Amino acid sequence: VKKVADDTSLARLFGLLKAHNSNLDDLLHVQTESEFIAATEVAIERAMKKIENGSKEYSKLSEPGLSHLLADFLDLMGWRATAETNNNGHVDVVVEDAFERHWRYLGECKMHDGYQHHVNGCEQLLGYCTGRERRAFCMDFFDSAGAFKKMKQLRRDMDKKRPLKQKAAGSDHAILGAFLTGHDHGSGAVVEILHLGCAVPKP
Amino acid sequence: VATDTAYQNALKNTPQTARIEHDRALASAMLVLLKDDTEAYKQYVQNPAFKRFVADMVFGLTSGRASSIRKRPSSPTPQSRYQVLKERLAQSSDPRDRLGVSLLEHVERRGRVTLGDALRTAAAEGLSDDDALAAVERLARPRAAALERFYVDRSGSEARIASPDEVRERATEASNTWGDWASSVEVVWAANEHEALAGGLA
Repeated sequence: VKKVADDTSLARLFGLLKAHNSNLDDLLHVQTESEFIAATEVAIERAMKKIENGSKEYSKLSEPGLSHLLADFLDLMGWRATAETNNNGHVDVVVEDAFERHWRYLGECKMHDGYQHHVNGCEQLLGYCTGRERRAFCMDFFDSAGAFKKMKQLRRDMDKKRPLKQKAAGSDHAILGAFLTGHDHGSGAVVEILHLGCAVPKP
Repeated sequence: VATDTAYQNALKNTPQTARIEHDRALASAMLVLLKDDTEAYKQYVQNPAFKRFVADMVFGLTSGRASSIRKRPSSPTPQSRYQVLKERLAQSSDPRDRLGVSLLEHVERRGRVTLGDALRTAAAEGLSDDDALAAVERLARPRAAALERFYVDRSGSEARIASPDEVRERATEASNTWGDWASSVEVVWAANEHEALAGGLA
């Protein structure tokens, strides 16, 4: 068998990806959309933790800078992620399997600025969804202390006001501080939104 | 052959003599092979069918190339294709964006950038392997250079593109089978399959 230069080979690429994602095989083995969502959420949580662990360095980044960083981490774990600033100033994130399965996980990223700002982001996100996506995520970056407390308040406010045709009170999610809400989509489907908080407090 | 001046002039000015100039230029080029590939030269000189096959093929390639260049004088060169993006990335405070400029320059020179090219370029700029992979993947995003990641399988007699599906399926094979194959596949970013396949073993 002919070999190519070690540092150019597919074996090297997989070495780099596995250094960031020991569960790369989970992504390679996914068969259903549910499995894709589960594997992607593990990767998103891992990326959030990397950002939070480097918050001293990353807290100086702007909203697009943090979103690009999130996309970089997902790329390094075997996904193909794009982060593009939209007309409203928020950042649209698209996360796909780098091995070209047909599923995608849409997201919206922004600096936290209270309940209405978050709901506006969710509205934008639902607008991008066609109704075929079972779930999308809306991530707030917190540049001051108390991220988990603010996420709890956000959940309470959403449960009280039920914005964007929210069907029921939010439910827990395995990611610390995160919660899920279901929304009637214009297509007739119900789209779930995973609400995430990522703490990057300025020192 | 395509760079032979008399042949180029004939193509442009006196197409009726182009084949004659082509055959002369090809004979000179084949003579160079005498040192490196004696068998090819021997076949060219002693086997009329082989000589005709090579001459027709090279004439087809080089005369078509010359005419297509003449027909598309205003098509953007790779240099101009990425110029605006390079200027934007060069002004970024993010070192991964600035690394993207060097990687785009590599694409302009070679038509593609391999994983090894990216890792070595990053190292030369004092950046990590992660920076290299992140920077080249940023170039792959639709609003950047829209480069595509290709897997060039060089395990057979001819290079071919392996699909992402095939990579995924092979990755689930027994580790030694996968390891052998993965060591013979280049990871390349390029604008299209043709450019990804260009170039030999790194």
